[in-house]
Amino acid sequence: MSMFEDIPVDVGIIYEGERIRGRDMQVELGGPREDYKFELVQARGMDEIEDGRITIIGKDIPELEEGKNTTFGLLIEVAGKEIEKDLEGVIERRIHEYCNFIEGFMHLNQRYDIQMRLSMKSYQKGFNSFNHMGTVLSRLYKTEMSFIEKIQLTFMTDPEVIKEWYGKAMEIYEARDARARGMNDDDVEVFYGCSLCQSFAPTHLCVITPQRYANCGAISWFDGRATAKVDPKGPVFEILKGDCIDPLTGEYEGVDQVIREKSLGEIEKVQLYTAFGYPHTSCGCFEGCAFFIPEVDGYGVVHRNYKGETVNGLSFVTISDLTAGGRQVDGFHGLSIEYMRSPKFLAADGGWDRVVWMPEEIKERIKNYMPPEIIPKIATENTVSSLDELRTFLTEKGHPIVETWIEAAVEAPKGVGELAVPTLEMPASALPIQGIPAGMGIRIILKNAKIKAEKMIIKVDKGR
Amino acid sequence: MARKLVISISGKGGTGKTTLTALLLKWLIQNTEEIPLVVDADPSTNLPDILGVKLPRTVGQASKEMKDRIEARALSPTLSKKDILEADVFQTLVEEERFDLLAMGRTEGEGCYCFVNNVLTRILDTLTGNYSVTLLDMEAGLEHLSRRTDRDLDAMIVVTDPSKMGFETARRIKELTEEVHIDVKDIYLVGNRFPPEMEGLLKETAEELGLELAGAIPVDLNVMTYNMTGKPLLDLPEDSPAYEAIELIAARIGLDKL
Repeated sequence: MSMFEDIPVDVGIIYEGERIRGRDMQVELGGPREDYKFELVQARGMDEIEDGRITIIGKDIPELEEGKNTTFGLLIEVAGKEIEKDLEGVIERRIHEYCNFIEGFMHLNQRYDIQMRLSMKSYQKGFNSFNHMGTVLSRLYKTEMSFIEKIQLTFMTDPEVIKEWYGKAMEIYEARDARARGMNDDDVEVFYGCSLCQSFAPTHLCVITPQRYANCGAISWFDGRATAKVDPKGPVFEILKGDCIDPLTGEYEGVDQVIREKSLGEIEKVQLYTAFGYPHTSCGCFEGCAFFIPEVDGYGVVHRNYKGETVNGLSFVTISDLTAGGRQVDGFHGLSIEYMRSPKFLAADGGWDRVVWMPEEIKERIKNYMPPEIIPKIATENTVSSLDELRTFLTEKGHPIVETWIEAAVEAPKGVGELAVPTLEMPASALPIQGIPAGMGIRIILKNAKIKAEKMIIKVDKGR
Repeated sequence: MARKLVISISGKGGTGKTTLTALLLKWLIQNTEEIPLVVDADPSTNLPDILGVKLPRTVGQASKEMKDRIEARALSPTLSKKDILEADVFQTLVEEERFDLLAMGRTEGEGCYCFVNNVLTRILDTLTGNYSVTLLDMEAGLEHLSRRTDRDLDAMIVVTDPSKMGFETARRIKELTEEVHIDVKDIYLVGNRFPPEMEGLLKETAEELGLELAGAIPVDLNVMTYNMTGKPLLDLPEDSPAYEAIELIAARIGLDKL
């Protein structure tokens, strides 16, 4: 790269992924043996910084002990008319990428967990000052992110100065995370899809939004963004969310289109914030599952580690078998624990006001994210052990669901020994109906059907 | 960049995969300038002991901790989990003077590891890309093949002892490799604990199975004593019969061309 003629080593994408062995390194900046290390990007006013200025506070590379680790801080200040606070994280993220372009330089992780190594070989070639590193970074930044008009870098190896900055940096990271946690599905144009589970749930696709984590609980919207960037054609990819069809249920044009494509037409559409109608499909490895309890018209939520029976006598395994495999089953909804912390959690079905039972363990884990007034009104395995007890509990505690019973009771008196099946879906091919040609793709959906049968007889039509 | 060799060592349990891995490593250390990466992909993690390396933190433990941190919500929502795990895995790497060791261990605990494993595959690909030669000491049996942990190999060495079951496993490994389309240039058979009188039989059986025989390691009292007393095989005297047999095997699989 001619852009780096004055740099003693090569700079280029081919050096990404380079690892420097401990025995081959000139110096390690940060790393697990150092308590204080950080890298931070801050947006500044146009007249607050001097473009291209590189400052070294403390020792430069040659003065650092050979083959050893050192405390380290890097502050990058940027300015530009279009630069807002929100971009700091995005710009900071590039330090990792750009540092790894340097021949004989390794950069791992980010923020307060960074670990960098410079190889002896590159050092001996003349890459022997933070000034080189600063030059490479500022040129790459200004080339790749044209909105950066000014950039100023400060390298720190002085322990006292680093300690001071470290405290400030931690506060800044925390504030940034708090903003991210408050991010809304409306704030972004892009969601992410994950098809990792399609090997065992071929029609399943996780839709990952700022307010809806992947069912496994491992992939946030930010992970989606990072993963899709590295391998855009991989199992985690961008979904342009497109027009919002229904803000309440969370249906988006772009999502529906991708779902149809990825499920090979099996799933027509998905509504993200509901367990009825067109719920988000369930893979097989969801962390928890919401299940509808028709007797009280509310939801129970159970998580994978819960070994007992739910209030209506089901185990997690039974519940998960009912919905796993990439199906849309009304009233059964695989989800992540993180989604339960989201304001969009079953939002279309009434949210927390509709939840009546959950294991104590999970309640304890997420109670800080639940509306405080509902917490004592939701039963656990410690407070009730049958549906009758649940009904009494909800009535006594004044759970909001109780009010809705009174209206419903008039039209639907309770039967005895009935089997409640939230949804029965039958593929058209299994049900020949006169006048409708095969392959027409009709579905018969019985919602909230209560079926009572003494006997079921299946007869083979001998005429065929 | 120089040519990179990735070699896996598999076979029935107890046939001597870990012993062969250690002997090949010893050969590489003594005959080349290379710094090999050895990966202990067997969940029982025996290789560190046999090489005289303190049992490291395993990649499995790192993954488990990652899962726990996700569940405890101890991670920043904006940081990439891949970056965190990548640094974590790098920190489990044991850097010895003449080789690096990565112990995979096993992932414990419940829940979904799809994402973590997917990320892990890429992290490991990047890591092995840094070494001119990587030796993978695989777990016994065939499971690793169906999981395609050993994909894109230059050579696969299947170890057998003088038993029908050993050869049967070798045959199945060869079949399965073809079935699941593992891209491997050469598959070799190595007989372990074969007395010289049985080498003819070994050769015949290898031909029947359609496997290229890379060599035979004789019964070696030194190896047995070292393994029993816990002395590292890397310190084995060079005139040990097992180590002498490695010379030929190393040449057959192309290690002498490094």
